[in-house]
Amino acid sequence: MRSYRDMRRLITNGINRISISFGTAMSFMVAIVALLITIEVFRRYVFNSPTDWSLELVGLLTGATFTLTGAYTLYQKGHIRVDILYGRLGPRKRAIIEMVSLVLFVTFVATLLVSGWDFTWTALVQGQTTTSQWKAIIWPAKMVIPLGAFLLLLQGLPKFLADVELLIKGKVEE
Amino acid sequence: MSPAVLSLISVGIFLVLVILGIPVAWVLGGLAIFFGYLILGDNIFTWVVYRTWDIMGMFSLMAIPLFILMATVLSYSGIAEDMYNALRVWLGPVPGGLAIASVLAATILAAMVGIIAAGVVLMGMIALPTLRRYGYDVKLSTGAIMAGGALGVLIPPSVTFIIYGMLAPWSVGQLFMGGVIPGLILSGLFCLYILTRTLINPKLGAPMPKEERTATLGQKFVLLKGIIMPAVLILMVLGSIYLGWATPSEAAGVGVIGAIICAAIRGKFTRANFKACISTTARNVGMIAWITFAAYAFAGIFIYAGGGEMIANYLLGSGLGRWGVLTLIMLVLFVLGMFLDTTSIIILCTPVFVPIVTELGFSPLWFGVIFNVNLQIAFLSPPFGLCLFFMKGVAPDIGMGTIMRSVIPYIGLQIVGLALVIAFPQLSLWLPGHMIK
Repeated sequence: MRSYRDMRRLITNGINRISISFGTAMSFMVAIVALLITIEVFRRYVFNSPTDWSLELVGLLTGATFTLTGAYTLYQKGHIRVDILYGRLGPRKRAIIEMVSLVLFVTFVATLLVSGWDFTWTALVQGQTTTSQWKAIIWPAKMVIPLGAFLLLLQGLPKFLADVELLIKGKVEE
Repeated sequence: MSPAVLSLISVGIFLVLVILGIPVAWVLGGLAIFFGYLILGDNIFTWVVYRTWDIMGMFSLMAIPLFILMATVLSYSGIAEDMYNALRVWLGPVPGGLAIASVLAATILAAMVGIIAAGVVLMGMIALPTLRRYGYDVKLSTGAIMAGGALGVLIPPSVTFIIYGMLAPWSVGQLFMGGVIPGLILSGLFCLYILTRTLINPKLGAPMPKEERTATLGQKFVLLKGIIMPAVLILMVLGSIYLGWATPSEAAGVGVIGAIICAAIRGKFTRANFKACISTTARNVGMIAWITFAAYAFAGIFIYAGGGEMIANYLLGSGLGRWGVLTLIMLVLFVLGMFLDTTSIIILCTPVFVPIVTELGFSPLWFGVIFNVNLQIAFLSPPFGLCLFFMKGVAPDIGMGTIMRSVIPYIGLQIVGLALVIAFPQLSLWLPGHMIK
């Protein structure tokens, strides 16, 4: 069983690292968005020359910060749950609840992955652009939906492995 | 089975699964797909993606990650310590002064951050040790900190107003301004309560002993510089919204840069603080974003299936009258608020309740404000109010029973505040009415 444990650790560490990189990058993105907005506000009031693309770019970047941080939140166990009952349950009962949770999680996130991919692909092949004067191509903005869902599902894997172990053995070996 | 009945069943299952402890986002998202499939068939899969794309593109939602980052940077900037130190020296000689200083510091903090955790955790760490050192009554102290921290929901900027405004739909700027006076009234009630209690029974919180009041007037004024930075930031963010110079999202962007400059000036940009900021921001944005996607999908199916209409018809035909229905809605919000997170409550309840209150002739702006006052009460309410757990987190040696009992008088004051805002609509409508468009 040692080899299984090593393998699980390897998978877990690798996937955690991916989620951490995206989470960190997106936090920086929020700061960049703030900077872009500040510059735009200055351009408007101080130089009286607002751009037509800044706001739109900011919207697209913000979308990325929403979807691509989900995996990091999962890694940090930050998705809110009600602890009234869960906090008092033993490890096996918790593992059962985690399995029900997994079904709901996969149903929702896999839908966003698969349909979100179609959604992005359609935008790509049709060459859809935004309706503003800027006419930015839109597929990269749409792609953050399936990408964010993919990262979340990926981060779900180490959690699933740990939960299965919890269900079978009643504890997780680190 | 009709879709409307189906949608009500989905709400029942939702509540059961959430109470079992499954993360709220996955319950809402998973059930949206299951029940959506029964109602829309295969179309549900593309529908959910369109729905997500739709909410991602909403302009006011942009402000949320910005306000989260701003709150995080400010938490690590040391601004709250300076502010509390200044207030405590100025108010120290007053009975209950240190507790009043905590409420006032929390109020100022609430005008800079939009999430309650920041206020309760920061004041718990900064003010509570001081209050205990000076022998303040524990219940008076923890209650003051939690009630003050909860003001973060009502006093702008506030993430809850942003989401409400997006869905109602109503101007986020006006909602922000609508929360100002009710927030200040509540803050004033808390201070008045502390002053009265300590005047009657000085043991609860005696004025600072004479020998410690050594600060000269000059020194006192020097301390005031701790208030300057917060004041500038608040004027910049809220002032620009009030004057119509910037949308809330733009004000938030400028506020982030302002907060970063504050932290840099104070030399707080250490490696450890920086890492903690990055981590907290990413975690909170991911949490709010995915709950928003899931709740928006679930609420969409619920409304599409006719669940909202069914509740509306039932309430409007119940013969309770407009105040009866409003009271009932307030009760529902209060109960939900005791165990659900605010983001999902607002996304689920706004599309159901706003049409009903509009139909009854109430203003959605006014309703938004009392909605938030109500959520604030829920945050404090035992046994599951979030503030209680934040408090327990920063003061592990204080018993949960003491913490729970300590909020009861403050909840009473919040109910008085809620009644005032309901009885005198001008309290929430006057300031937004004077905004410069």
